[in-house]
Amino acid sequence: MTIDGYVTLGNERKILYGSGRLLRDMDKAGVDMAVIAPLDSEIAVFNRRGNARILKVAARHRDRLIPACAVTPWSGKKGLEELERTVGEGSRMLILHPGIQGFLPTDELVFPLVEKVAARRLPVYVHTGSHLYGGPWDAAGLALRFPETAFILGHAGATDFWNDVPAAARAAPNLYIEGSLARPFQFRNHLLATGAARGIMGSYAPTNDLVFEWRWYREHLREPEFAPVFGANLAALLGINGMPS
Amino acid sequence: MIIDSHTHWGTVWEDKYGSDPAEWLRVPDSHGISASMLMGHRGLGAQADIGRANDIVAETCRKSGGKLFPLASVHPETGRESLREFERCIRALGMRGLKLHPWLQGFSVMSPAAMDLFRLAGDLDVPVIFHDGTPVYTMPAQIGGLALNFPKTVFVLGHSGLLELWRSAIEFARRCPNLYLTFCGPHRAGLQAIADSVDEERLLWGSDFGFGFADAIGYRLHLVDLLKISSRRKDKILGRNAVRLFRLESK
Repeated sequence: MTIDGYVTLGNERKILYGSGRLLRDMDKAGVDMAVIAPLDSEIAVFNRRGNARILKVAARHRDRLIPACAVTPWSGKKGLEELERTVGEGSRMLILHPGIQGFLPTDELVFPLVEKVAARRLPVYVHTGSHLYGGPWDAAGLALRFPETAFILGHAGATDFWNDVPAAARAAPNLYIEGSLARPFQFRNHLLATGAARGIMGSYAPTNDLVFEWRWYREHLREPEFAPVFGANLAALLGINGMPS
Repeated sequence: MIIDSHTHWGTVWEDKYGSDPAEWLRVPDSHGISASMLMGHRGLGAQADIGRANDIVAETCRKSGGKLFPLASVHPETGRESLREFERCIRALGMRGLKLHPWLQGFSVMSPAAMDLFRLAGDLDVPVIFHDGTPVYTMPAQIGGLALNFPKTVFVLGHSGLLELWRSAIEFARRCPNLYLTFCGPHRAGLQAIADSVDEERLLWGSDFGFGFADAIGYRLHLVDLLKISSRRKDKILGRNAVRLFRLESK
């Protein structure tokens, strides 16, 4: 089974990406399933609107699309209620975007959210690469605080934190490396350092082109890395083993 | 014709092959690259013998059969020594511009020591290429500020702001006619925004190949194929602008 670990769905600014086009791209790229995420504005501000929209789209394509949700740590009790609601309705992964939500991953502000998804055994995707808030070691710090929860290092610290990734992943065994924006040649270096069992493929479409990304990651990775990185690792974190292959 | 405006003679290549570019060239050759602008790597270290590093880059280019063109590097904090070395590289070694990497070299682009270099680049009529996109020393807005302060000098953003700061690169490229952007860093959506907003005469393409052994060229070259741009604009980005900027047609 192949899973794209991160796709943004919806229309924002100059980018338009609906489920019809996404499914066509997935078919072209030979991708079985994709995690779908709210738009940046919905991650930063309009959490409830985005989570509800993503759940609705995923419900129409249960065999292909996996809903992720976003809640800003600044939303306090209301945010916790929104997280409870959206996870209760089917969201399978929490997205944290320290760069646009404006917090450090090691800030206590975010701990209550993580505690809630930890209780549900759901993974947490942390966008990294932003120079102030997106350091892999801050994500690792959060992962070390919650060792029973899986954290996905979104974009593998790209661009400037590539040096930090292998050591941060070694320090936090519950940290997985998602390679979108890291580019396939750099992602492969991370896999060599950490092992394929820690790698997760994500296209970050439509900022990137899904078909193009899958083509070039297949080109750069080696066959033994395909199964774990292109689907099995994430399937295990999401608890969707046994879904269509 | 495809010109790669951003490559390196990386330390791993130098350690293995000295100044022989034959193996290095197999990679761009396999992608149909006509010529590449070659920057150093070892010379960026604080303790490096920058003169020797520049000599090795120049020698490597001389052995390339006309496929590699060298760019100089110096350490601005060495003051007059950096000015002498820069001038030597241009006049004696035939280098086509100056490459600075303030993040790795550890200086601010606003450092007073660097100002004479920027002035000299204008006098020598060669561009200054920057690593950019990395706070706190190499943000596109900072280099845009240099472009405003030194209107007779051409500055090149080697990465167009990378993944985070490409909107700033666009803003300053629109404001500064002496600022070029390189398609070597932003994602597809960022590159499309740049292509839609910035003067097509001041756009270059680069791969950053050579820091390591991995082939970074194919992915970045074919990324340009995804852009909604005319074939004329694409030709300029992939080669014609670089030929003009680095005066490649005269050699």
